[in-house]
Amino acid sequence: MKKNGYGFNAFIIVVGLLFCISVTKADEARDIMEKVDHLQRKTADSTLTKARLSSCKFGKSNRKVACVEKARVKLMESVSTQLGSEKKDSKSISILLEPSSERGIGMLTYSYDDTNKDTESWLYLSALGRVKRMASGTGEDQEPVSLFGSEFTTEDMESGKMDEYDFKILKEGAFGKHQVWVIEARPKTVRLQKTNYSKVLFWIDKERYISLKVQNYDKREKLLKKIMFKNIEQINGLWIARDTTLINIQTQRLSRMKNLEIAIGVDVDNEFLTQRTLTDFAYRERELEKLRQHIQ
Amino acid sequence: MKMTSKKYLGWILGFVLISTRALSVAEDLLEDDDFSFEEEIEVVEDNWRSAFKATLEQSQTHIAGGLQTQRSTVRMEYEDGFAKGWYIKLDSKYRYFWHEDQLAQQQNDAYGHHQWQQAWLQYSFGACAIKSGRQTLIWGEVEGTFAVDIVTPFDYTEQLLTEYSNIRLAQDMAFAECFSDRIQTQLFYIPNAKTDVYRHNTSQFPVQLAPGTPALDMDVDAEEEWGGRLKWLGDGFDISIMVAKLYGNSPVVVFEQSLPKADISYFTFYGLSSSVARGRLLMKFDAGYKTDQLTSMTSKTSNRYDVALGLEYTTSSNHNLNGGVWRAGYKGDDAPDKTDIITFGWSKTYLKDDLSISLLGNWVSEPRYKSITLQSEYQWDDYWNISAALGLADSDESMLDTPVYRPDETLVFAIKFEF
Repeated sequence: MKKNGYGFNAFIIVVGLLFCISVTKADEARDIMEKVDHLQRKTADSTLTKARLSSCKFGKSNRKVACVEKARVKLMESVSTQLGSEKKDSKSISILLEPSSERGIGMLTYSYDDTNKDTESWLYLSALGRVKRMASGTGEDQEPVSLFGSEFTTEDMESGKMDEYDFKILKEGAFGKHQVWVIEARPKTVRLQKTNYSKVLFWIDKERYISLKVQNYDKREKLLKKIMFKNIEQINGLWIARDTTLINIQTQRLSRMKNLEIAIGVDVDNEFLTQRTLTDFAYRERELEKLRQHIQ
Repeated sequence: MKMTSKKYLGWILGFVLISTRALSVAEDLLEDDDFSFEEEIEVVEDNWRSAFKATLEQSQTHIAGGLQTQRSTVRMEYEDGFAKGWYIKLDSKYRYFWHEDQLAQQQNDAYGHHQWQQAWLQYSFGACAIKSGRQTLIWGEVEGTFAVDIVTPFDYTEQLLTEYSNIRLAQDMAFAECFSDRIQTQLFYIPNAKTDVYRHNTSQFPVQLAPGTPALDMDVDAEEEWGGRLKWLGDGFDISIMVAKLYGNSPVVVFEQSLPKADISYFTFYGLSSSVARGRLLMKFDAGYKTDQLTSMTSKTSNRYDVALGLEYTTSSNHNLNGGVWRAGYKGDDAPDKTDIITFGWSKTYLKDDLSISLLGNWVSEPRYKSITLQSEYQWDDYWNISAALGLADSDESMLDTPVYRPDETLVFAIKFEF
């Protein structure tokens, strides 16, 4: 009986130890992801970017990936700033420069961390020369939409929402030349209705707290997308990937976003992120020219 | 169940085995599946050509019995911030109406027509900007209704499918707007206002009042127009008030000393517009009041009020639905009857935004008219666009000889190349 008592105690201790380790690991994983999110928001604060987004069907041979059709290319210039005490609210404006059929389309967006506050957005209709208010709600209960027709969706681009996920460190070690944590993010019940993914894996660089790779899994837990971050540079003390490639395993299509020009920590006039910029082209170009002086 | 040492050991061993298996799966996560791209995607540097855009388009409309329209279009656009605080936009369009086109048949020959869609210069200073040249000015929130959107006339030589922007006629204007925190102020001045265009190279809208009598030339020149708008930008809502001195966009037949003549209303306009966004719902309101509206076939005037309410809703699966109701009523002796108009639309994109399908429907109480158009547009690549539209209409017989008459069934095809 005594032997059985010791065995039972050992069992409880082992189970308890494992439970504590898992909770600690979850807390650590969440802390890591919060730091990554915080740094990511800093890169969107007072930022000017000129990005080229290209999409195509791809083929692969001998570890080389190539488009098997002519890529669809979009070029856009964006200015964004983070607001609020925790810099979780944002204002941004994007102007499409290419292709010709979409040149001049401008979109102004104010988004808020408070889920009870609707995202406000306005679209400049170049054919009419008129600014139109859009009804987009909070985006919380809406199907993620493709970003400018690419494989990136609005869900892939958003940040925050830490409370809606459970995090766990799956592995630590060397990934290429960098030491990483591999962290799994599983959506909680509140998130499950709004997401296309059953889980997301992040390869987080331990030194720079930036994602090197992300994998998204569909609702059947099959690999859906791989996102690779390359050409990582330090700009104004922040690490930024110049090149982001998303490969959709299931559709065999890829999208690449290349930040051709970046300026971080620029002095963005409050008035620039208003409807004026959508219609006062002379003002827009004048202010953009000032911001472009800081491009790195 | 009583747990023996062996059973505890079994549990722990089982747990270790599962963990080891998990670890071995996790080890794969660190495998570098890096790959390279065979070719870099071409990056074209900005140059002077970036400011240009050219569009070539061929379209035709089929109706029962043959072709209604057959047109080729060449459009050249240029826009650039050429100096600090300055911006220029030039948008020139040349259309060729082939022999089978109804507008060509009215002139008994194919013909070409050039017009400036836009040609303006903008200068920005302080909190204001001035824009001078050929441009449109669109007021109002409720799309598909024109309770307050009355400054810019219509070009009915263009085809209305599902986008009203395609049929607006730019005019020469001096326009100024200033921005102050949440207030936006607009002022405009038009030296020679334009009216709706129905035909080219000939009188616009000859009206035969009685069989055997000469048709009445409906070309009427309008003169100066001016006005302004004050817009308040709130959190989730906008409110605008408008005042203007305007000419009507369409001439009417009036009697002066018992003789018929074409004339055009010259009136004072007061307008109010608002839009409120709540979640995925956008609620819109326009109201306009116009004085001194000429009553057709009389020598009297009346005051007119227009009220429009609209809703726009984006579903969780990104269908865009919109609808509006618009009532136009009159006050005065021998004032015309009120007119009610209902408009509705739907649109959605598919195939990563390459395919866009839209629907536009209209119902008018007086003159009796209803129509529905379904359009699909496919963006083949960054340059080519093909579209098709099916239109069904039911018009009052009184509209048969008017330029705005639409056949019962139309099928439009268009192919466009933009670079």
